[in-house]
Amino acid sequence: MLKRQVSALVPILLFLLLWDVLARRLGPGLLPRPQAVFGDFCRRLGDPVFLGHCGWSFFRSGAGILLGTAAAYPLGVLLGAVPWLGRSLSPLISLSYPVPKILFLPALLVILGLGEAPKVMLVALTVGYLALVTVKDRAASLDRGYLESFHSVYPGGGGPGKTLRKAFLLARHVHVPYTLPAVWSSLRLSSGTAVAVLFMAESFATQEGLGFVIMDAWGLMDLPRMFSGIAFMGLLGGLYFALAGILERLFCRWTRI
Amino acid sequence: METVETEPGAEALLTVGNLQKSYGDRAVIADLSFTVFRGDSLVLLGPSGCGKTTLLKILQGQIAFDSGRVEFFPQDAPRSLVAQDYGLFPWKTARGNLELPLLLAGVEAGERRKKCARVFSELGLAGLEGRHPGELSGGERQRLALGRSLIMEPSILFLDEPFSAADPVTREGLEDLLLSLRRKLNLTLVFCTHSLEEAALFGERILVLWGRPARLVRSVEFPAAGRREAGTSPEFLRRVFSLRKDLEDLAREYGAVRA
Repeated sequence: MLKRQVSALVPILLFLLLWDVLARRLGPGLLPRPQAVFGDFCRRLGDPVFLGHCGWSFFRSGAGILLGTAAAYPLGVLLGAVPWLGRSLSPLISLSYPVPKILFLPALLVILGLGEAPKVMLVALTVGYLALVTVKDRAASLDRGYLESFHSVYPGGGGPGKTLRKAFLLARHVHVPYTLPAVWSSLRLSSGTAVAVLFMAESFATQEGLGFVIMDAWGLMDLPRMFSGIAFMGLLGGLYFALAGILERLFCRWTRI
Repeated sequence: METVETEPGAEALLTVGNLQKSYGDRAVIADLSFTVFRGDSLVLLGPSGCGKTTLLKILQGQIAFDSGRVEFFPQDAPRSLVAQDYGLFPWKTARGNLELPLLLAGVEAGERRKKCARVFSELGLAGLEGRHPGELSGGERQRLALGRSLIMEPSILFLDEPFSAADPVTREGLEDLLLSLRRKLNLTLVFCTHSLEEAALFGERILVLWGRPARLVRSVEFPAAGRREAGTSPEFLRRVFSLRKDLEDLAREYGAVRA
C-alpha cells in the first residue's frame, strides 16, 4: 500500500520539480514558481469572492452534467434496446457526434441570451452526446440470454406480446442495471471536456466563474491568480472524475467482481 | 412419427400436437407430438443441435411456432425454465435473482422474504443471499437458478441441459438435489439432455428426438428411474447401454445430426 502511494507521488514530485526549474529559467513574469502558486491557492481558499467564482463554475458544470445525462440516458437506452429506432437515428448521431459542441456557443448565446442557460446547455450538450453514444452502444450489446431469462421468469411465461407494464419491468430489471456502468464511464471520459467547454463559455459575457477569473487574471498578468484559477478548474474536473468512480462503486458493485 | 398414448386416469398438463417450426426455409422441428402428465419425469433426449432448446423456448412461450398446437391444462399453468447458462442477472444479488419472479408477479415484500428464506435453506444457499452470481461457484449458481425456477411453485419445470457446464462431482450433487426436490415437491419435469446417463437417471419416459428437422423417433419407458441408488444398479447400466444402442441404430438409420 505504502509502496503504491510512494510510486504515485514520484511523478507528481518530478512534475513540480520540472515546473520549478522552468519557472526559474523563465522568471516570475512568465511562469510563477509552484510554491508561489500554492501559496496563492491556499489564500484563495479563504477568499469569499474567489469561492463565489468556484460556486458559479460548480453550479454551471453540475447542472450541465445532470441535464445532459438525464436527457441522454433514457434516449440512449431506447435507441440501443429498440433496434429499428437505433438504426434509423444512427446516421444522424454518427454525423453530429464528431462536431465540437463548443462551436454552438455563439448560436446558444443568440438563442438563449446571455444568462446561465447557454453555459449550462453547452456543458449538457458536451456531456450528453458522449453519454448518448456510450449508453446506446452498451444497451445494444445486451446479451439476448438476459432477455430470455427475464421472459422465462415473467408470470405466464412471457412471450412476444409486450405490454406497457412488462416493458417497464424489463427496463427496470434488465436494461437500466445493465447500462448504468456506461453512464459512469462516459462521465469519467467527459469530465475534462465538460470543464474545458465551461472555461470557454465563462470567457464570454459573464463576470462570474473560474473561466472569467482565469481570463481576467491573464489580462492583468496576475499569474499566481491565473494559475490558482486553472488549478481550481482542474480540481473541478477531478471532482467529477472521482464522483463517477464513487457512484460506480456504490451502484454497480457487480462490475468489479 | 411416434405418439404417446394417453394413460387412463393420468392428468395431462401439456399436450403438444403436430408441432412445426422453421427458421426461414430451415425446418427445425417437424410434426412433433407428445403429452406430459402430472408427476411425469419426461426426458427429451437428442444430440446437440437437434432442436431441443428451440422446443423448450416454444413451450415457454418465448418464441412462436409455425403450426400445430401447444396446450397447457389449465392454459395459464405456471411453468419455469432452468437454462443451460443459468440465466442469472450478474447485477442482482442472489436474493435479488431469487425473488425476481415473485416481484414481477406482484407478491408483497413479507411473503417474498419468507419464500426466499425457505428456498435458500432448502437449496443449501443460506448465508449467500447478499452475494452476486460472480461471487458464487458454478454449483451454487446452478442451485440458485433452480431455486429461482421453483420459487413460483410451477406445475411444470423445463430443464435445458441444466448441468452440462458442471464438473462431474458438482453435477452429481445437483442431480441428487433435483431428484430429492422432485420427490418432495412432486414436480413435473421436462428435462432436455444429450447425456445418456442423465436421461437414464431422470427419464421415467424418454422421448428420443433425431434429425434435422427434429422428429420424435423413439419413446422408451423406465418407470424405476428417478432414484440415485438406481444409478449404480445393473438395471441402470442396462438402460444406458440400451439407449446407446438405440442412438447408434438411429445414427445408422437417419445419419448423424450436425449442430
